Amino acid sequence: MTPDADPSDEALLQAHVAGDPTAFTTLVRRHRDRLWAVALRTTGDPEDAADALQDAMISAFRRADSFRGDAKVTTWLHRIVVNACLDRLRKSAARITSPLPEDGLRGALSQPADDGSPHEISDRRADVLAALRLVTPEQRAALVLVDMEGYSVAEAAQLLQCQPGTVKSRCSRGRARLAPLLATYRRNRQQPSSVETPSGADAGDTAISPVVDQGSSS
Amino acid sequence: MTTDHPPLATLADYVSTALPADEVPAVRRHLAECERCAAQASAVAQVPAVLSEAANVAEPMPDAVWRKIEDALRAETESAQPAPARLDERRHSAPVRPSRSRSLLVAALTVAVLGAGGAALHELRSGNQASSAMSQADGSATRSQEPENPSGPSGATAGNTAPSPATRTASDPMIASTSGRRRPLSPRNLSSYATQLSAVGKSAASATGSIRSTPCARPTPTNGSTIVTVRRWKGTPAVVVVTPTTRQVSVFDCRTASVRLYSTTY
Repeated sequence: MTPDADPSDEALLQAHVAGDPTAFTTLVRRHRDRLWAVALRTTGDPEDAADALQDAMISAFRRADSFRGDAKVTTWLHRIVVNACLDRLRKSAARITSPLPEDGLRGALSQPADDGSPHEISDRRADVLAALRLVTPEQRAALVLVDMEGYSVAEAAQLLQCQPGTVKSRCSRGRARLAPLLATYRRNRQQPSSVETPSGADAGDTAISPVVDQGSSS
Repeated sequence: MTTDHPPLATLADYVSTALPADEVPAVRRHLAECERCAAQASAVAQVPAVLSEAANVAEPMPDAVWRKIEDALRAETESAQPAPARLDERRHSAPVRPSRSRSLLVAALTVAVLGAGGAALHELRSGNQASSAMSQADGSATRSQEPENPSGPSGATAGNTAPSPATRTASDPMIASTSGRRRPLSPRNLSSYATQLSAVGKSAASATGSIRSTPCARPTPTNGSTIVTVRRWKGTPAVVVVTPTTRQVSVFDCRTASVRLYSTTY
């Protein structure tokens, strides 16, 4: 690696297009964890994630000259990764029609997870991953991009090559599906600061000003 | 209290600003009155925060996954220059499946019998002489789909771009010996084609580096196909694929990625 200032993502991509044999690998290594997270959350399965990610990186390797510089390199990579994941899931559609039994999941989710210890957090992460598998791949991709990766609806729409309204609607349906499953966390999250306002819970694009806090827990 | 509770989906749409504007006021009024629906809407509204929190937990890529990707990229670097790069999006018949990864494609096509590729290469180059297999095949299997190349094989003469390797190889004595004539390929004479192709490949590659037989990235399968990339053909990268088992020769334009210029059998 260069001991000097690290080259930017754009510079690495350009170097790759110009024939530098290591630039692309350096670029991917730099973002490997985040790319992995996106692939894992979108596919919901480590094996699918690994395969999709490999497909995606090979595709990005070859299509590097199509990068126009009108988005960040990471955005461009995310686009390729998410679409590779969706492709893969569509191909193996048969498998994802048998998600976890919901009761079992509810059981897992109802475990108290309130102290934020590393152990709890990692359990929670696994549960969220499991819950995500219950929504459709398209909804999941939208949720991963908007709610987890922090893309705006408009950006996510570009990434997914669909209309912003479609992204909103997929997010909406996905959230509706997840809401009851994640209710435990919501309650636990609220306990430390029971005065948390709905707008405080608002992340990303969800404008929920009219929503009234539920008041009591039942 | 209204008895008319909106479905959860509607509440979620409301929260996610996905609800048509004309339905918003009614839902808003209802939420102001109905504790149960307000609680549901609130639950939906908090999903993004829960997800966002989960996303903050590091998700390190397992080393095994990284190694796999690194290997794949290395193989890619070694075996693929930009020319054949977009082959994987092609739709065409056997032997090249529109496979999920070009590595596979390369694996499926690469190898072995360079000789067949040599014949194809040669015929490509001798297209100008009009009697090549490609030309003969015009009425049968040949397809020329690309508007920019309406002239088909006979327009394929590589020699029109002056210092191109094609010029050189076309005048190569080994090639010239069969130029203008379709030499039948058979398992028996494949080896002589192999020799010929290596000669062509070597001379051209050493001249300009623009002809290259793709190395075999992985052990190859069964069909014993050959892929030969011709990186400058009419200013465009092209790939010649020969499948001895089906006796098929196909030429693909790599620039447009999805076009099979023509194919024929021998």
